[in-house]
Amino acid sequence: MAHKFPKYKFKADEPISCEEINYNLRQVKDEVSGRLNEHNIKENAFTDRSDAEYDFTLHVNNEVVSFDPALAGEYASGSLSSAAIGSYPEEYLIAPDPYTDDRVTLSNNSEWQTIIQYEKYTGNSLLWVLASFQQQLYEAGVGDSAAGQYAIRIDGVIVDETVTGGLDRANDPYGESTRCQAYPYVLDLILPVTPGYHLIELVGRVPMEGDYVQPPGDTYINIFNRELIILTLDPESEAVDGDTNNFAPLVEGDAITGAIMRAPFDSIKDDMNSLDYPAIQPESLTAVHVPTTVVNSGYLAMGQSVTSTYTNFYYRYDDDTINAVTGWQYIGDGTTTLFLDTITPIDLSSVTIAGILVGVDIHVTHIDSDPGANFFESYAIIGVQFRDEVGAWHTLGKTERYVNSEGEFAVVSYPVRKNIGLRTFITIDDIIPYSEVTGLAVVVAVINRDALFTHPVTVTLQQGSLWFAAVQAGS
Amino acid sequence: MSNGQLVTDILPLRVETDGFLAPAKFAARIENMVATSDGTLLSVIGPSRYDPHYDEAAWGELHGIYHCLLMGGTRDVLLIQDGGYIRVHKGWSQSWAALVGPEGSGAHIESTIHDHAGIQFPLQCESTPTGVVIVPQGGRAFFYDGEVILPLGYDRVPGAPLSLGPESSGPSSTQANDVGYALNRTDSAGYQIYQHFGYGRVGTGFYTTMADGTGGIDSAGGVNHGRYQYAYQWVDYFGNVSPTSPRSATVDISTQFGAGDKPEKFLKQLVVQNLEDGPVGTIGKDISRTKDLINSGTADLFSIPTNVGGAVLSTYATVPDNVSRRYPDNVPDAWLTRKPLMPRAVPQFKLCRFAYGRLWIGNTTSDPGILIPSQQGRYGTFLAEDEMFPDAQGAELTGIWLTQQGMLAMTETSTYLISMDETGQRFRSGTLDPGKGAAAPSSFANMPDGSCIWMGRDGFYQYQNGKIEYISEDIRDDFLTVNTARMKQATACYDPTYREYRCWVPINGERKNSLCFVYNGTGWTRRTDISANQVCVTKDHRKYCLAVGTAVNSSSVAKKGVWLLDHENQNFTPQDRTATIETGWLEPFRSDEKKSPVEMNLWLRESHNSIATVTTYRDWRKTNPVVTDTSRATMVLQADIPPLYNTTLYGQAGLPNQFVKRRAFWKKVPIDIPGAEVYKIKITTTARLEFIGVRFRERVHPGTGRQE
Repeated sequence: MAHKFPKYKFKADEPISCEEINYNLRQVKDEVSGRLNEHNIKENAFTDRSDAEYDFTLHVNNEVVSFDPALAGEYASGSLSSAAIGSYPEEYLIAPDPYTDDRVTLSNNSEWQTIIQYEKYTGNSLLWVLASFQQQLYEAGVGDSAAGQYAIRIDGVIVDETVTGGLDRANDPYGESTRCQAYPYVLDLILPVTPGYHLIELVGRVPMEGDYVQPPGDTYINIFNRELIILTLDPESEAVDGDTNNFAPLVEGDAITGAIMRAPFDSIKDDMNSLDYPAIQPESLTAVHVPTTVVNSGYLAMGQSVTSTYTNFYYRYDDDTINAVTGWQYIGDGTTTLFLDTITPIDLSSVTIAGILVGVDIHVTHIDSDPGANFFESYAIIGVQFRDEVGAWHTLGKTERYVNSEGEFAVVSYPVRKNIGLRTFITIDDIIPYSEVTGLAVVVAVINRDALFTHPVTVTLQQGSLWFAAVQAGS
Repeated sequence: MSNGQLVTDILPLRVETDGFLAPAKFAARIENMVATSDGTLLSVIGPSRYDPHYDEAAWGELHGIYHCLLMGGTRDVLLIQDGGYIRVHKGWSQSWAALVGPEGSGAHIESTIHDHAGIQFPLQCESTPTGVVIVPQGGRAFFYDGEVILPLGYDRVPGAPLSLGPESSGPSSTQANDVGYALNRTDSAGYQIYQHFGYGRVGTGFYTTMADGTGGIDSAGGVNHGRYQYAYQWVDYFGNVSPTSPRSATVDISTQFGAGDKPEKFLKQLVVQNLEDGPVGTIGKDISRTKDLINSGTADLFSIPTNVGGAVLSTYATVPDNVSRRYPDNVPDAWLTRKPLMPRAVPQFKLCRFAYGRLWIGNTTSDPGILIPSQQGRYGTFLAEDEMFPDAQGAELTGIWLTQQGMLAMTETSTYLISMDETGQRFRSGTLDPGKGAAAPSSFANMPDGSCIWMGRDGFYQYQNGKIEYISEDIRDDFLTVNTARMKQATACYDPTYREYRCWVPINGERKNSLCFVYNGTGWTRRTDISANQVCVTKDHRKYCLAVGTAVNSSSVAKKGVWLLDHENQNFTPQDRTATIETGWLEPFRSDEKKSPVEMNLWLRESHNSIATVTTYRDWRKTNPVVTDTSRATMVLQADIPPLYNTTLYGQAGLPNQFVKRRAFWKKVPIDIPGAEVYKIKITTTARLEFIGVRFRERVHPGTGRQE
């Protein structure tokens, strides 16, 4: 490890001893056999990611369920007409599955239940777990107080720090859960783990209501779009057989010729010129040596003091349309738009690029409704669009997240003050038949589900950001 | 003896003695020779620059060097103290990063480090399972885990917090707890807790009966008169805890009750604020509170738990940040179960050692004789109650060392064994030897036989199996040359390659450690290849002996730097250095009969095509050599000259053109010392010499001794 020095300097009038030559050469040979470390490798020695195994430092896995909540009145199966939905929207948004679908409805028995899970084999690694999901609450009775509580569970153990709400209801009878009707949660966790298989789960439960009463049976907490992203830092290394260039020591009696001398030197030269994985001491290189695994990244933020309003109606799930009346609009504050169209193309068909980690956070200040509408049915929806290699923009349905006004009937302008958070990992599976991502943008739309396109809704946004990081990683 | 001739045994001459009448197998001087694995003595080679690309002129005074492996052995850390800087080697950029440096230096930690060449201990460092403790002399100690460096623990006390609670506007029961920070559910004056947020929890509630005013009895609940105090501590990145702040002023809750009420209606929520931000490295504030001082029966402080669930990742501090300065407290007494640690401010100290899972620090500025253990796993947290003075008179500690039998703590004149008591939690000090101590804390080294060696005021000592033995009788006279004023700067290591204990000391009034005494387990030699301010042996597979100090180059210029001993290469050519093997005065007990040594058989291994100088002396005088021969002691056998560098050509016929192993040979060297009482031989060379042994042939002259 570290710097190693030949011991003997060859000086005039000293015998040409094969033992000392061998000793000197062996110092180098020994070191290259697996003890090279941070001190032997020059700063920024590996500037090209292709110099290293693409999965040497990071694995990314994601489990995702994309679900159409029929916000605009169409059901994912397409079996119902929009007119019927307009009359009884909550049946499709809220009620348990009359049709086969992928929603998760939490049982009301206060037990933790799995929403989405992934099992990952790791080494002595650091897990970064991100969970991003859409909650929708429905309760039939007036005055009920049911709400959801969520957490990340690792190998069957809830990590307390990830639990939403409080752990102590004695100080706040409603404190265990955060009561929101429509709310997109983001949880994340960084945790060191030991080698082996690890079950990573996003879990949820419905705590008792404030009066210690189990929520009524017609209270449903549904989870629609949901994604569990697992980044494994310093993953388990695969066994690699290194090339062995046998070192042939000089022996007494060998002729002092160039050919004889070259043999041991060549074995070292060959090692040095083709350093392989086993030559480096595990975990000894640092960020000063290796290239970043972030292939491409970007960040945009809207200002704190400027608000912007949007009235464009949400058209349907996973729709691409940009339209000021019915369709999406890009989000901006007049100065900055959360719209990145100058990204160096990211080829997700490459085996070395695992995908693009994307984060969006938007603050919703108000949702204003038409006086004639049911205000709590007013929704603001955001989503992420990507631009393909030919320049067309596409919405990723799995990224759609929304909040509702939860307003009272007589209040037209309701201060929502909610954040819409989103984390997603875009892979080649998300963009097929395309292969490249050349742009990313955040879009917004509104809808009043009570009467769909007839009741105008205005959402006011303030502050927001979009960031992405395309990563070279294994899985 | 035959025909008037005597041939001595072969004298191996592997160690030296300054004894006047020593056996012939002991040399009088072996200098700049090391024992090889083949059993020979070989000239010292090197040193080499460890960092040949670094500008030598950039070094300040190099006070210390230390090597360790951190982060599970994956982080290879080489530290030096360069003037007022602590630097770490960055091989990847062939440079040294400043971990600690003076203000404006841009170092990770900007802090003044004592930098002078006066008499002081060298830099003290010690590895722990999670990092290395760095103790510059005369400055603050630091802790470095391979990525982050911080001052070791906290050297100051947080300021007292300010606690707020209810106050009473008047003496009547209706005026109780009605002003100030009065937060409860009484539906009267003060702040009200929203109904959905439950009740206050602080206070000693009661439930009783009372007359209802109409002749009946009604139930009544309330809160007793109670008092509370707060304090807090900082928690740093490495888990160290600061001293506890002074307690806050007392918060008083007055007695308050109401007919028909539940007690919890009157319980309060309090608040503590003015929680000062901690210094760099602080990542949390652990707040503690008393239970009800009037009703609980204890005045102790208890840590306020992070949350009800006791989340495992957040148990290190009540407030897991260094930003929050105010904390609303609604924690009942019943949740207060964990007492906070009560550390002292980390003192400025000179010595440290890791033992029994703790860091032991000693010789503080205020108490030179004190020894203080840290908490296990928190190597910068020292409880106020944990301390001992191994020496009853509080004499200055001059060495702390861990042995197989326990930890030794030493003054200059005495040695104590620190061992664990039966509980495994406390330690006791027992006098091991009241007459032997340590002169230099960096002179300790463990030997492969389980013993340890160090330098005392009058020589070197070895501790093994409960006994301390004096081991430097053979160099007792030479040891008198050591500069006693600067003994404390001596530095030593055990070199596992040569299996030698090496200790560099200043001699003859010098300020630098210019002479190295070498002990191989049986005897002593010496070397002068480097002037070492401090040495260390790398803890990795290389087992390199490294030093900071000066070496003299071939132009006779002393060069500062980080040196690798016993290695030589093109980056540094040292000044010619004389290797010496000098016999003692031979045959002193036959000095009553004269003898005439005529021949020396010198056993060597071929090493250099040159000639060693052989000087002969006689009759106890070294004033005038009998002979100084520079023509006979060839260091290769002239009848079988091996292929040599710069004369042998690749594959050229007619020359020795095969690789060889260096052969052994003997060489007759005529020496003519007629009629000597005693004689001695000195072999010197600046070229490479590999020595096997020597034998003499002498003519004896019975009855020719002096008659006087």
